Amino acid sequence: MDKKLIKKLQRICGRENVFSRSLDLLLYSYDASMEKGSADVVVLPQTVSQIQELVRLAVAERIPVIARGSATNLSGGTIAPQGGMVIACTRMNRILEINTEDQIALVEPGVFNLDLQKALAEKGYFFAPDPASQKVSTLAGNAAMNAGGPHCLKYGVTVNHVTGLDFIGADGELYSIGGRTALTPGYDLTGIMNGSEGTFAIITRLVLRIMPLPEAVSTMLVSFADIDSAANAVSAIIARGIIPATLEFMDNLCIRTVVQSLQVDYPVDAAAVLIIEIDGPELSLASQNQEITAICRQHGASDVRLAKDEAERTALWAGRRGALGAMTRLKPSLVVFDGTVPRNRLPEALRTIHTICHELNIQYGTLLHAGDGNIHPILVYDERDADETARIRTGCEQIMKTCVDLGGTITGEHGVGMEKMAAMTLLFSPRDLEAMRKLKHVFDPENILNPGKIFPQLRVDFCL
Amino acid sequence: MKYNLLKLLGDLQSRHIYLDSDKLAPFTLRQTPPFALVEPDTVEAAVALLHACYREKGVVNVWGSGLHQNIGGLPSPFDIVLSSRGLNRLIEFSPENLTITAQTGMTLAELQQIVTASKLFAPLNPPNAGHATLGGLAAANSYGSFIQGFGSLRDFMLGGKAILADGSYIKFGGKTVKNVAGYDMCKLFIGSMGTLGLLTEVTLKLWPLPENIIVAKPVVKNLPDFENLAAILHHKALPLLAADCSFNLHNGDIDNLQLHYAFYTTAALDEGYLNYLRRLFPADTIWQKQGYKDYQAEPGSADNFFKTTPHDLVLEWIVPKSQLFTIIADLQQASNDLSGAIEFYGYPAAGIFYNKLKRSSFTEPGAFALALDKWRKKIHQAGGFLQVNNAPDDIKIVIEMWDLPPAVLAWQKKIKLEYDPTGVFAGGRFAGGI
Ligand SMILES: Cc1cc2nc3c(=O)[nH]c(=O)nc-3n(C[C@H](O)[C@H](O)[C@H](O)COP(=O)(O)OP(=O)(O)OC[C@H]3O[C@@H](n4cnc5c(N)ncnc54)[C@H](O)[C@@H]3O)c2cc1C
Repeated sequence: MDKKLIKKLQRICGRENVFSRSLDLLLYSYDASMEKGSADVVVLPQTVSQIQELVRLAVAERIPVIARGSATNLSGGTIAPQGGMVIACTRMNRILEINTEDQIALVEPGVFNLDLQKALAEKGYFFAPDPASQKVSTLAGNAAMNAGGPHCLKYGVTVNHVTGLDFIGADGELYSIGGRTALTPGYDLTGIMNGSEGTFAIITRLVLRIMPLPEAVSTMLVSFADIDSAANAVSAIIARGIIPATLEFMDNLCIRTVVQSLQVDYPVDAAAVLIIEIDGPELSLASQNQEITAICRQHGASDVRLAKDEAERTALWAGRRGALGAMTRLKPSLVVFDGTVPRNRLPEALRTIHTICHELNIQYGTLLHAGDGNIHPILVYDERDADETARIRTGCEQIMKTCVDLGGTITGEHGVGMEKMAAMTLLFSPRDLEAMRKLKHVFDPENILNPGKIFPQLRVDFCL
Repeated sequence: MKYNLLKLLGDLQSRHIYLDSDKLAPFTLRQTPPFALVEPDTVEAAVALLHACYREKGVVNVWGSGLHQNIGGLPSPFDIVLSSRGLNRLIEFSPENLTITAQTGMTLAELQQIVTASKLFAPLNPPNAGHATLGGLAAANSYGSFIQGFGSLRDFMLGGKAILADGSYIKFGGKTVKNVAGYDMCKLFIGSMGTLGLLTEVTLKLWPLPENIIVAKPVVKNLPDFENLAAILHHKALPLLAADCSFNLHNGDIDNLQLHYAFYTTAALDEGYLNYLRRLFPADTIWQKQGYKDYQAEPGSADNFFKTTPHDLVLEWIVPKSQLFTIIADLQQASNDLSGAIEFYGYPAAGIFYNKLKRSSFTEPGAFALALDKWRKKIHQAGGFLQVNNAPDDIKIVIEMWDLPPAVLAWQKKIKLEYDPTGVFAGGRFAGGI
């Protein structure tokens, strides 16, 4: 990148916050997806006005801008396919206000989800979206991806918990939308901004809805001897009118891997386990637990283990939360596929995925946010093996198609980014996509923000 | 213009085009009936109509049940009323997945009837809205007291289909709760007041129908009593279905303060819950246990409050929860300037309140405009907003009914221009004259 430009960036953000050496750029050239692509410069602003200046400069110089949090996204959302400037917001990580009277938290974009949860827990509150990456994923990243998580079954996804945003638009201006109230009048700009994957604006502040912690929580681990029974039990629980806080599923390979890796006490011979958590007033839990246990038994559960205390509960969750990390023991690389099917099509989806992976000789384990029909087959492979990598890509394409054929979608919570751009046509007609493009045009007519994402063939007007 | 439109309608050769004045009279706005009423019963017919309007510069006003036609500013002239009532089919009801997909001409009552038969419900209860269409409810983002327990349509519309101004028929979202394939276009249409497109189909997430309802009617004599109770309930995660509050304000005095809380529970748990809740409420609270059906059947005081005449002014304000009682106190003071009473109705757990005033409380429209300015300032200072939902025409002319910050309004105008550059969808009523 032009030295003069680097100097300008250093003047805006300070030398120590601008990186353009190739080794530094390499470190920012990937995220948690299979994609790679290096930016020309990475900057880590510390104030909103720095972001504003950066965007203004980028507009003047016609440089693509890629907003970035912790880059834990699994879709290539923070890759710079045409180079450009990465604006990483991780140094803007202050919790500005926790207001339990208004039931909102005001945060900078780079605050980690779990850091907010910890601060809230001290006050008897929580922020419902809890992606499994919460230890490191940022709240702006959560909003930009409209992230989900286990507790979204009962409480909804990120967009349901963001009431307002500040952002720097593609014109370099600072805007404030939404607010501290339950609703705001006019078109729902806050809603539109969630899930826009950094293609509309750089989020600089968020107003989040927080909720009082439930009085009591109860978690159980239910084992099944076959996968279909576990999947059917999921539908049966919901059909009985019970909406647990979480309803998570792990198959045998995941179980065995977490047991080996994390020494958790899961039944290694079970074909699948469900982690079911309910919450609410203390008095409501026992009868719900009984009912859920009975339903699971009717569907062939071989064992139902209820966490007796907080330590046991944490131990039950440790396996689920650490599952992705544990799977990396199997092979050097992995793809966490993300798709959703209507809940009652889960057994069919799982059978088809099995056939696909079997035929392509792919090793995989399955995690599900089962209550939402959100499937995460984890496909492990060795990136250096071109043939295996190609089979993985084929497998993912076929699984995406399966989800669509079963009435679901190509991504439930990980977003489109680069990885699923082409697959958008499985779901949407050119007209549907054109209607979405209009929104992009409203917010970013010059296509400067995170270009080359979401749309199958979005015209790239410029690159360095 | 009319010649072209006549030709356009002739070309459509639809059975559902009405030109006679009897049929058109109910759709009169600002003393002017439309030129034609079109009630397509297929999506193709609606596409053809909008496509033709786009070509011939015809302006349509989308009409569901008409419940919301008086909301907002004065409508700009339009040629055709496009009624969605003919598009009222059930597309798919999937009790196992807790979803329903229906065309937008279906009424809320029709939808609830279908889903309650399977012990499910859509937690949507805007007052007097049983006969409102799904399209109208989504376009106005209507809500009632259930917003406090379950959020608004924004939180449970999963997908849909719409016809845009140029006649292109699009789908968005899907039928699963988790779906981030592309932009969340549902959010664009919810609350857009029919200015961006004709919604033809919606998919809604459903919830298990509450088995039993525990109703608490605390006897509170004054606002401080209410404030104390609200503070106790505020930090608790309770199974709240709805909370309603109403009172009148006259010359600074509050009377007839009524509170009505509803909690959902199961038959097995209701005794336990009742004991639990009793500890939180004042001793003389009146308690009632009922099935959901009976709870729904009781005539709500919200329905009465929202039965308005053309002479009523209805204000809606939403403030951060901590500011609720400060604002009520401010309005209490302000009411001294008025000759008539102000009625209050609200959903306190969401910080939402409505005020109803008689037009006769103000001699001049200008006097109301001044008072509104004063109240808006206070509410803005508190971090909220205040919009006027209903007002007589002489008032609508002198005030801004909506309450949007200028920058937000500017975005809104850009969006409207992008999606409807020639103004096929009638404007005027929405913020900034959109
Ligand atoms: C182990 C693991 C578990 C995961 N579990 C889940 C899960 O349970 N649920 C789930 O939904 N996801 C999950 N994810 C995916 C990922 O963590 C989420 O998408 C998360 O929200 C990304 O946050 P981030 O800070 O890493 O954002 P990044 O990956 O840095 O960015 C994500 C997107 O947001 C945009 N963005 C970032 N910051 C801004 C900003 N300030 N303004 C505008 N746009 C911005 C980027 O341009 C990009 O498009 C998981 C990932 C991993 C690795």
